[in-house]
Amino acid sequence: MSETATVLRQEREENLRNIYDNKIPKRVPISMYLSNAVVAGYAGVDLKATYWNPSLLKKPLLELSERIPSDTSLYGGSVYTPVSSQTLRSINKVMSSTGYMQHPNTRCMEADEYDELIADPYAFIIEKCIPRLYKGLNAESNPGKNILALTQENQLKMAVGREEMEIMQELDERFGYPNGIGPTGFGRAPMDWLADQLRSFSEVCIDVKRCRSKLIEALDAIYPLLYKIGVCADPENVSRYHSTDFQLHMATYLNEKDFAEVWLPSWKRQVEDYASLGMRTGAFLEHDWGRLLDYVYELPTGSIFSFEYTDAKLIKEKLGKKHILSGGFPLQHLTKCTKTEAIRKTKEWLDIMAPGGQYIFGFDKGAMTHHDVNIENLIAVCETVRDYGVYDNPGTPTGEIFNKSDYKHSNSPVFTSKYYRSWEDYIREFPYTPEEARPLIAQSEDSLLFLMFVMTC
Amino acid sequence: MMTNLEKLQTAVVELEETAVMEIVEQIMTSGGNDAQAAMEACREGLNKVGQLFESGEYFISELVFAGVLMTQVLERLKPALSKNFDQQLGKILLCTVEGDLHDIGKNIVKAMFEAAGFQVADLGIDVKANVIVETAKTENISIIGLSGVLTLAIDSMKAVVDAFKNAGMRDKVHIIIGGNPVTQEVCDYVGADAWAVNPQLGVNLCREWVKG
Ligand code: B12
Repeated sequence: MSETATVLRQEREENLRNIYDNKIPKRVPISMYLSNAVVAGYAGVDLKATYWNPSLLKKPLLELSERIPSDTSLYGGSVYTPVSSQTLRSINKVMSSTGYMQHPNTRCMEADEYDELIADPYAFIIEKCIPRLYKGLNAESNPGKNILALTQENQLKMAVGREEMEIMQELDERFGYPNGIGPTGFGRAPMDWLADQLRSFSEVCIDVKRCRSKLIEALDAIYPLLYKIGVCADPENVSRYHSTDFQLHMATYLNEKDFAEVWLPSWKRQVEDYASLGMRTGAFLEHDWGRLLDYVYELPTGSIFSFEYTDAKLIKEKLGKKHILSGGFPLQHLTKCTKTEAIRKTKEWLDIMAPGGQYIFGFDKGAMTHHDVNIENLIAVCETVRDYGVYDNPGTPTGEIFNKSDYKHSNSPVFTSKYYRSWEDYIREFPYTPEEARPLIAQSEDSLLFLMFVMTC
Repeated sequence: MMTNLEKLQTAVVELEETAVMEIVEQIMTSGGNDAQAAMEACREGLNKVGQLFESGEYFISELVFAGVLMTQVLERLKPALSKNFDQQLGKILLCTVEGDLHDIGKNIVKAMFEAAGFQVADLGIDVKANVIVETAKTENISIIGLSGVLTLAIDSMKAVVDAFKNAGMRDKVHIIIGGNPVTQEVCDYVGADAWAVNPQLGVNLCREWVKG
């Protein structure tokens, strides 16, 4: 690692650490990310090819990282890719003719299947959801080959993943992106998960009205599963420098009553349970949460909230002391404004968001294609944040302090399922297994659970 | 005292499914003479739901549910509606354009058109321009409704208009476009005959076209 990169990394980590520690940083950190589609478009590379050969993105990524002074790596690999979706013949992730990966309005659970989901959520995922969403794993639609599909997907994913990893490491080393601080966990709000994948966006809108109490019962039943997915692996060693992050989806499309009675309680319980362990929550608040800010305020102190459509003054005033704010800066400014205007808008934005610290600069949404980004303007905006967003009082205490003891863990039942094998079950079946196998078995049961869950995300 | 039809309209606005279906059931068991008027009341109700959405009292989930409710009512009333009720205003082709998979808006528009007495040929989502032109030709449909919410849908809409031009049919059809990103500017760019974000305005426009 070069000396400049080392210095930059230290500076970046310290800035973030200050924010996480309720102190004013030296300057406003910039959190940026460019999707494969944007990078490919910028470089004139075929997006479809990059899924199979990520190294096509390396040169443009090196160039972009050199030019854009982001404090986080621009590259995160790909989330949805044809490498997986085609191998598994998935219907919930499909590639468009231009190579753009998308999530259609699919469902893998019918309205009359709530009781089955409630009885054993993990079994429902394995027996019903996965075979419906992934035709390649379905014994009826892909006989014989369904035995091979998951292993093949895993092989391909690993091969491609290695290349992605190499690029990430090279970028981290060359440009000094922070290491060991920031989001590490991934969670889903119970109702978002149920809506997005199981019942579908539109069907859940109907369930809220038609079978509200069943829906609420289901949210309760899936709670232990969702809790387990997002909770940090070692609850004894929780670090406030990490967060479990959520991508919130359904909330703002509901009226306030449905939001408060149906959507919110299970997620609030989740983040409060996590807070009682000392964990930090991060969340992207999709769409416009303007009318729901009072509820957001109530969430555990020191949560990191990234906004989409927003009234900067309002969120700063209402939430800025208790929580860490992020996002919100309109991506549109990059294409709709001249460079001078974009710089002026950035300064105006910082004048509102930066005072008092507790702010990480970011855009309201990720760009879909390179047409959504004017690189020159993007550079100008980031440089402005870097140079204008400096504080003259770094290290000064700020914001409300998080106190773990303010939160009580709910009485959540332990996660069980007929597909989640305990050690006792294991040795009953294979009595000659030594104790050495125990941690391995436990770990693999957990990673299977995680894999199956991610397949429904 | 509210009449049954007024009650029906209120129940639609309040999305009281049980009440709506009860009244519809009553209308049907007592001979169905009010079926047409009931449709009209429901459409008024649905229109009000749209207004409540625009004014921020209702949200997308209410819109979705209202659409479903409407379809259900129509299903139940159909046998009693004069045989040619759904043809009296003619036929309209409706779909979400190529590349776009969103259909919540389209389904609401469909419910509104059906309730107003149009027959709707719903081609679904992600529909290619040539399929639209072919269907219009074979089914002899002269009103084309295109829906889309992705920005890329705008170019797909333009492709549909161009496809009608290429097929020599542009002057035989009226094309109306809608969806969140649609504006007058977009309409000019696409070369459509009209645009509407409010489905009721769309219905009104198409009624004019049918009258000629
Ligand atoms: C619901 C939703 C989904 C659902 C769709 C469910 C379904 N069955 O439709 C799901 C979760 C599946 C989804 C998926 C995706 N979505 Co989406 N989705 C939305 C959301 C939240 C609401 C859209 C909606 O239904 N609006 C409500 C309806 C009622 O409004 P409307 O369509 O405008 O219709 C009204 C009027 O316009 C009019 N109208 C409509 N059509 C017509 C036609 C005529 C003729 C007339 C007269 C009137 C008319 O009447 C309707 C009633 O008032 C929006 C965000 C938002 N707040 O708008 C994002 C949004 C549209 N989605 C977006 C994206 C990016 C996607 C994905 C590509 C994400 C992904 N990477 O997978 C995929 C889509 C894949 C694809 N190719 O389409 C972006 C689009 C960005 C852009 N600039 O193009 C948005 C804006 C979110 C965002 N802020 O980024 N999505």
